[in-house]
Amino acid sequence: MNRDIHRQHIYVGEPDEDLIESLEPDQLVSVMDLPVARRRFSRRLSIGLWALRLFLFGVAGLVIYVFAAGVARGGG
Amino acid sequence: MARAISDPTALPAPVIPEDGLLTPEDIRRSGDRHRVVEARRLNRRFGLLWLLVGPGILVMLGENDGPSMLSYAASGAAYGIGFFLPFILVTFAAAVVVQEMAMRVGSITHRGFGELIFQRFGPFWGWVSAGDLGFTNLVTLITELIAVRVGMSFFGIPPMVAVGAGLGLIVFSVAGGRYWRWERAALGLAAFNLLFLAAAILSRPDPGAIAKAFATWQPLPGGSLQLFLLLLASNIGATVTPWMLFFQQSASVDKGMTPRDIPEGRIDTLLGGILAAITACATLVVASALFVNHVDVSHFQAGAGFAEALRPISGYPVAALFALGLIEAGALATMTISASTAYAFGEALAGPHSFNRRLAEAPSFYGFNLGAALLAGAIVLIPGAPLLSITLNANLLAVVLMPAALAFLLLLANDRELMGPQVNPRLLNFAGVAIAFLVGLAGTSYAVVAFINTVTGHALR
Repeated sequence: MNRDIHRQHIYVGEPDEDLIESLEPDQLVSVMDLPVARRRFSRRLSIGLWALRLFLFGVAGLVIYVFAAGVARGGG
Repeated sequence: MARAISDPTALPAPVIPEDGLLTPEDIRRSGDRHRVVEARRLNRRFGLLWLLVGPGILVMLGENDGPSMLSYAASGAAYGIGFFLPFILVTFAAAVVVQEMAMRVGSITHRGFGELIFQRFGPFWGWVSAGDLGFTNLVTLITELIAVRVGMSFFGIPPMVAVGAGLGLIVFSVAGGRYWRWERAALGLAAFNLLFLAAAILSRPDPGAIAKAFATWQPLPGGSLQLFLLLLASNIGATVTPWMLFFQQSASVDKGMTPRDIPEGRIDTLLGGILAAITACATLVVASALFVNHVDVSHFQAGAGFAEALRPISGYPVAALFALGLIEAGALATMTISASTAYAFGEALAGPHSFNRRLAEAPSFYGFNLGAALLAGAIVLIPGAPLLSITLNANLLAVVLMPAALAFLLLLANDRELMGPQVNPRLLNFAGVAIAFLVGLAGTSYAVVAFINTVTGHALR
């Protein structure tokens, strides 16, 4: 999808080479659009990320509860 | 495509795409880069720095936003000049450490933070991170417009006009179709963050008390444990938050920064941290006059009350500068936080995500940019909306969700396939892990104590 969107607005005509040479090869949109390779998680890292995520969801739940209780008490 | 930058100091090679097609984004960015290359070739050091500063200063002064300045003010009003003054410096040091990583990852990979999480760790973690950011950014954007609203209310400007002015600023700032213009407009606005410093000077603080606080961290806060933890977590959330990582990395990419620009990027980030720390400390100092005069601040932490309460104690000029500073803080953060939302969701949807595109070339990017601000503005104007509670909890949510964002940043900054030799050194990893742990500890401590107090109805001391 992204490639199509970018190409709807391609530049037509001769680019100013002096200007374009100021960009690094991997700074062009056509190159930046290419995804980097997916990284494979080790089992330990995967468990660590899940544990962190679940813990933070729990803590966020406490903050949201305190917020909601404060609003319900008319502390808004 | 996994890439390694083997020689980050190598000169850029001439580039013409094989198919000869360039986007307008390439053309506009190349114009900015051309000036950087020329400044470097002519050895114009100050000119080079002028061209390359921006994302670091903006992210730091952008985080000196409405709820942050109110957190500093609340700390000064509740405890006076003491523990929290040096504590603010520590939190900004932590911010500089993590923001340097974001700048470096963006400069080397030419990809935004959200984009890399999607591509490197998969869509699940990508959407979870984008969801965290979208939620906390919406809550924070609401508080920014609250800050604009209460700041303008000091001068008698009605809420509808105030919120409309805040949203109008976003429309104006994105109209240029150039990252450079957007950045310079935002930097111009950011300069007004120094109003808080002017207010501090006019309020004639005691230099001895300030020196003692920095030297000894005394006096220590007393009283309610929940209030202390609230202000501790709020002050951390006022300097180290997820949107900052998304913003600085994406803005560095949009600006066109390269591995050769990393030294200037570090100066940019450090300079931003120093400026923001000065104005944050100044805000605390201004509000400490309320502590000295035993003014109860518990009922006006949504903002307007600070300026009104300062008027009879410190005089109209100090109060007016404080109110003007609040307007600036809210307005600048509305620009930067809207931008971080647009970058993150533009990257998540793999659509155009650059200020170097015009509205017609990137409707989804600008749609997210303006849509987030519009939604926040609509909520602020709802009669009876819990604005005080939202303001108090905005920084806390950011603190609670920050460790997850920091974990991904550390993984990316240590990814040798992406970063090549510019991976984090061991000491920086130690600092990054310590920051994530302490941020998590502060957020968790407040959440647990506040939850127990709420459920039992008794205050833990």
